[in-house]
Amino acid sequence: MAKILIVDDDHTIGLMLKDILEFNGHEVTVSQEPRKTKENLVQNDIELLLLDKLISGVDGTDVCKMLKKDPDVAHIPVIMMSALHNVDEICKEAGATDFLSKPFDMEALTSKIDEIYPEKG
Amino acid sequence: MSPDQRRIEELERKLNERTKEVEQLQANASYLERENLKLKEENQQYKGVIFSSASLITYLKGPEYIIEFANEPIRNVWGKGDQVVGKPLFEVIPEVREQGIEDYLNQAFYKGEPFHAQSLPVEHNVNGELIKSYFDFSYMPQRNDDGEILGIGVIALDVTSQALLHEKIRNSERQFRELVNFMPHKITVVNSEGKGIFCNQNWLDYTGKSFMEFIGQTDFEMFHPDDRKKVSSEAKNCFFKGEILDIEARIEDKNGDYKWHLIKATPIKDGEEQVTSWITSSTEIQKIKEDEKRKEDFLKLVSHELKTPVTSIKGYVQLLLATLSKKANEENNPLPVKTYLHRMENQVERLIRLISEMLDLSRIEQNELELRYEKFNLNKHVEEIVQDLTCSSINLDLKLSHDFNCEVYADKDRIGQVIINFVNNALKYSPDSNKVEISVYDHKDGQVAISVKDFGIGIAKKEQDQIFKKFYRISGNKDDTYAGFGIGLYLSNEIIERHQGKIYVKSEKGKGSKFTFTLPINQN
Repeated sequence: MAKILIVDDDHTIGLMLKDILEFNGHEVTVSQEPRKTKENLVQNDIELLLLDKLISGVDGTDVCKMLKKDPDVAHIPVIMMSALHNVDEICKEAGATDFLSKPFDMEALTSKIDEIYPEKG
Repeated sequence: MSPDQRRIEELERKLNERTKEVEQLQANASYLERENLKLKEENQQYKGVIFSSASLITYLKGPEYIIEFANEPIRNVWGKGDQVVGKPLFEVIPEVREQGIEDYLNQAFYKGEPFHAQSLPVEHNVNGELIKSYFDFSYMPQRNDDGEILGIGVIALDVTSQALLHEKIRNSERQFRELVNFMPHKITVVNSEGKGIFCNQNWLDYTGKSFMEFIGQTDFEMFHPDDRKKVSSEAKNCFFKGEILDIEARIEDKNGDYKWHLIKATPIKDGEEQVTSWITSSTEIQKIKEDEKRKEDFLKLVSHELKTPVTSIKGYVQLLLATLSKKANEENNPLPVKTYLHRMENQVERLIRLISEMLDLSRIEQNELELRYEKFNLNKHVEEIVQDLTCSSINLDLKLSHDFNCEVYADKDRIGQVIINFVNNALKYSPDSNKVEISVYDHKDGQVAISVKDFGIGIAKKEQDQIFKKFYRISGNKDDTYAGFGIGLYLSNEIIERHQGKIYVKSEKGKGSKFTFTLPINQN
């Protein structure tokens, strides 16, 4: 089991991801506030971040870059997600460990998490 | 000596003197005769030259310009027959008197100044009809030993055909000049070194430059800094090969703003196939570009917005399926929930595919369909796709055969997209059969072929060329049409063509179709 933070401005996607990940045994926090990501990561002792690319006008890659520069949270793996085409490389360049293209298969999501946290899946 | 003897001697002396005088006169007469003969011969020679000359030659004597002689060419131009010698010129051709000819003759005759003219138009009467001809001619005053002017020597050349040709060329040039100025396009002509030799008014109006500023210049600075390298290398390449240039680039206007143009340049070659100049036409496409950008942005937004709820639906359907598998067996459930969820999942997949196709279409139109090349085993990839298709479609009877094993260097996802499109079409157009056969085989031309065969309604011969076109959809029985945008095969065609492969169909109405695409085999 991993402690996962989901940052996505779409409420239903946040809920859906929470339900899937909880079904797979993870502990999940959902946020629609990209600016409070660091705070949420630290407060909830998060081990993995699922970060949307476009969150209410904020570019997820900027959030990711900022986190990766911050020694307090830089170690936390980030999986970025987007419904936009051909942004996987940009996300990885921003420091994301992996990328998930929306809409995705549940299996693709869980296997990516298992790759990062094999012992906790 | 007697007076008689003296008289005789005197007479003898006189006789001798007379004899000598006669001999002298005879010698003189013989000399004069020879000289006269010589003169006659020379005269004949000159006349021969004059009369056989293609030039128009006449001699006009005295202030009345009496025709002393006129060679055949000039008599032909006058059109008054041979009986003109001895007549005043303006009696023979009175129609030219008022056309300035008399003034020119007077200038030569009274002032002693030779007169020369080039391509001078003259209207003269031939067989009762006024004809306009053009002449190059000279009026030369002819003087005697005392310097007195006796007449005018006229030498002329009929240059009507050349003059008319020049006029035709001038008119044609004027027409083309007006045409290129009238056109909304910006037209420039550069020499083989790329230096400006002509441009139309639109070009000057747009760039705010003068014609002289354009002439002799090669100006890549007018292109947007981001486009300069591309334009320069494409232009050099075309200049080198003598091929047509076709490129889109931003050109700076007189206010310093850059606007998108479609630039086409075609080489003009001489008789030896050497490029002598280039004609370039630049058409402003700024508005089209802006519209395209807006459309592209809108499609991206639509796609993003459509995909967001679909993501949730797909996620929940898959979560429900997973929950059902884990917690309950469908057999214990009074409702066929699992079956329904699978159907929902399939429809969601279909919706996702339609959204993707819509976006791909836009990308192809924008030339933004990027391919991500990688080396992979084609047989393994086809097997994986077949496995996925079999899992997601319960009623599909899919048979796969490999007669050839190879690797390709291609975009794995896009190739998968083509195969899935073929299989989905096979099922869609086979209302009474769920049998689909996929085979991988050597196409014998350095390419590997993948074909998808169905046993459906088939495609009529006349429709077989049409189906790879955008928005073309096959009509079924009773004129009912099948679902879809009609872009799946168009996209497949574009994808395969970009891979340097081939795509084709063999089909018989009522018996089924076999769609095939080929890809170059990776030899490394």
